[in-house]
Amino acid sequence: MFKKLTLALLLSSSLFAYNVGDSLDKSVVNQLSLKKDKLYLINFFASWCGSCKKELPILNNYASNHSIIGINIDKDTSKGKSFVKKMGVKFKVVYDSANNMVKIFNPVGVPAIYFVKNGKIVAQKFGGVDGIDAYLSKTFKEFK
Amino acid sequence: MRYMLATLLLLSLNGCIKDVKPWQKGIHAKATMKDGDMNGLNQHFEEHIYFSKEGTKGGGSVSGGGCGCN
Repeated sequence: MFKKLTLALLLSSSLFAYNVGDSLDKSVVNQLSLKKDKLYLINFFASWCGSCKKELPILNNYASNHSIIGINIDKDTSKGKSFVKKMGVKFKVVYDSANNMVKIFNPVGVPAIYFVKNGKIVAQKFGGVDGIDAYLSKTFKEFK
Repeated sequence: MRYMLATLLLLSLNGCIKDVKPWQKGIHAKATMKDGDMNGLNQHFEEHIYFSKEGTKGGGSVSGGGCGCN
């Protein structure tokens, strides 16, 4: 009893993070207007994040042929909006200044990429941009 | 055994072991959170003294915020 309770408390933070195979919360599906049988890339980014600055132009290259939704997690929406404008983001961006959405996903780092199909996470990648272009093209092909 | 588990339970309730979430790291990325002097020239001068004395260079700071996964 003690053992189980202690273990549950220690692991609680990682237990509530979304992982591959998990179904998204209905509130998230509705808020992002996700359709069935369509592959979406959900990207969490912020203006203060160095890796996001490198990653966004790469994501922009895929925006014309794929469904990408960016979620800006800046506390200050105006900073997020000017960052999006500066980076010339070509996909839909949702501003999550209250961090409600990012708390549901609970990624281990930003930028965080989630591939979602039929309300389920099919692939995910956190942080860094090394080989991201190859990873994106491979994953888009794999789950299309 | 019970005492050990009770200690672990109490430690898990302690706010000090709460990790910083990635979306909270924007605060760490602010210039004011940077270690050292806010004056660029002073900073450079201090770094020069440091690497001259220690015989090493770099590693004194981090470049920007970002990925919290490393």
